[in-house]
Amino acid sequence: MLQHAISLPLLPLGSSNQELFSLGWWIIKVVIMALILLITLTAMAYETYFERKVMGRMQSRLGPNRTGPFGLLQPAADALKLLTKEDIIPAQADKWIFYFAPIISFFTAVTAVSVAPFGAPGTPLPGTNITIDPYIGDINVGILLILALSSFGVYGIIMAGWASNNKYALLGSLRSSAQVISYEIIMGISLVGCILFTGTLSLGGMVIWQAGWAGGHMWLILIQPVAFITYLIAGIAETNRNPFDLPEAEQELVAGYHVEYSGMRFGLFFLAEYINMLVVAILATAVFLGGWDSPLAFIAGITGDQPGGASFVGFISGASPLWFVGKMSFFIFFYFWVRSTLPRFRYDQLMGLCWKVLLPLVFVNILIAALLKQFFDVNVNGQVGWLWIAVAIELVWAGAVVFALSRMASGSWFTHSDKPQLVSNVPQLIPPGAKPMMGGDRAVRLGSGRADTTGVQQL
Amino acid sequence: MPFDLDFQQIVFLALGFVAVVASIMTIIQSNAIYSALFLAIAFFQLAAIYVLLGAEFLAVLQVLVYTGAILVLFLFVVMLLQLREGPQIGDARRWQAIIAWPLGLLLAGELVAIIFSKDVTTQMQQGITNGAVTVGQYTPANTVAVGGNVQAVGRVLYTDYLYPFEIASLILLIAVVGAIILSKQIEPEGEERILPSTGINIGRTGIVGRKQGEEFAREITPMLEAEHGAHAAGAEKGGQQS
Repeated sequence: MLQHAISLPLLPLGSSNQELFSLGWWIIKVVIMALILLITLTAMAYETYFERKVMGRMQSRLGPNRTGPFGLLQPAADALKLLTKEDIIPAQADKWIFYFAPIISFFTAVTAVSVAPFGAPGTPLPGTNITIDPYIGDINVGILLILALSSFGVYGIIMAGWASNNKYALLGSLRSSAQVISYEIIMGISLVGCILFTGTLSLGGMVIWQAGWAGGHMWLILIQPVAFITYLIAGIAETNRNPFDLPEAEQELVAGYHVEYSGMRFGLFFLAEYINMLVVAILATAVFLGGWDSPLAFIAGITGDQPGGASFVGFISGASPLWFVGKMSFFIFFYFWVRSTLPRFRYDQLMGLCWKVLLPLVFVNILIAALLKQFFDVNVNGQVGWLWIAVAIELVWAGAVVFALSRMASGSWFTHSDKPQLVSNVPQLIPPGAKPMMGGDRAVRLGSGRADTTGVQQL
Repeated sequence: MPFDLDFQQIVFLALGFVAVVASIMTIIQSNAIYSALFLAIAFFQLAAIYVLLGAEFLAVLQVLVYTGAILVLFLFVVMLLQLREGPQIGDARRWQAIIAWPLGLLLAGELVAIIFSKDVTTQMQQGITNGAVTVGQYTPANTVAVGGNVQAVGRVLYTDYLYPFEIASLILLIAVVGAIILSKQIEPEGEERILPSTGINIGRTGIVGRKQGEEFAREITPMLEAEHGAHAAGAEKGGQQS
């Protein structure tokens, strides 16, 4: 049944399954498509509002509060402003490519939402006996489609940067394409472990595998915690958000690849960025956090309510699209939290993190996942208890990774520090009894925290 | 109707037409960026044809690998080199044209011969295997029967085509290693590297590693001490005299 629901919407042509493609089926599908598109665009608009409110609170400000009650009409005002602004195409720009670049960015972002599994197939509409599939098409290569579309989204950025005929735009787009291509590898390989365990590439299929927590099935964040961490880092880099927002680093590049764009053309880039954030959150929710599955299902087991029933306990312990949206919102919040906490990376740090730290990490993680799958999976020995041993091993491995990453981020392996220090604080560098030359202390950068005279540079 | 076409064939013809036009534009465009973008369009049409044939996995990989990774790197290099105007048609040397025509015709003939030869059809009739059982030809229905697209491709890749697959990955690995070796920079000699507390340039001393650096520091410290001491004493003396 799942196979049909998943693979056929891609192949409506020449299909023999007449019942599935009846008129009623098409009407419901079109209505769901329109609704999901509408909800996505509205959600995107209120994402900007949410971001400004959250960041305002984190920085002891109020955020937007002038337009409408609590500033709730601010997104509408922003949209009106963008739509009524003059649309400028620079005289030396390549007009066709300049014209198509924002369209490609926006199209790839929105199309990726189409495979998002917001709810289980056959979810009943509240108050009626109609059941619907609350997604557009849960195709059997959903994860790969999202990855492919996000890699195709780079074209929008490259074309915008090149066609603008502007140094800053070109630099921004070069940075961005290098960054997105690099982190896409991390993102894809992070998900391989999850695909290994669930045995499917369909997002809906992955959620169904995780839901229920029975027979050795559980949320993949427990089975693949390291993959979750690397996925989150790669997801933030992939969407060009802080602290990896180098393509549009204001202090260096004015605004990066979209510096020459104005009005709604700029607005399309803006929309694409925020919808891409939604897509990363959708993927994280569906792959790692059990999608529409309720984390409170055990309460119904205690009180004896029917999960998904009419009572309050039944409602919150049952699977529903609301849980999916809730988990997604948490990831969106996480984005804003990171943005207002961390400073921007330097470009070489960004690339170093990707190729020298995360790439070996995800490869080792796949190796561990494959070994655990081989020796501890329920299918191999039929014992659910063995899977918990695998989970324990994974959690210890994740703890080690988090420890190592945090030590690395703070620049201090155990006792030594890589941070720049004053010369007077590094006894190895001062000849005993010598007075500092050239007017007092200067900061030096220490290679690996030792008296490394070759690593010392003048700052 | 003169042409008895069903909807699927009409879609295929439309996709194929755009793919061919985009491929021709890829060749005749003088601007390298336009060329690459037309190639992207052609790749996309190919992916759509794969979907039409029921090979979604291949379609997505086509977009992911060729359009999303390889062609972006092409664009990247072209933009870095700022090749706004490439070589024109007719700029090529004469012997190139003389050699290119027969070779191109030979390639086209080979393709046609392969398509119409019986080898391919017999190989296709051997078909998909599910374990030891041969299910049948590569049709969408049979692909679903072995568990889907991904499973069918994976099974063939790791059984019948294991050696070509491994050899291809080995070649890619060699390419990666080669790229790293070629791009690795050798540190130029005589570069300025200044010890901050002393102002001494150690760039020409031939110090390359940390260990050598430490040795050097150990050797030079007494000399520095002496120099610093003299310098400090001199400065004090000078101060007193004036």
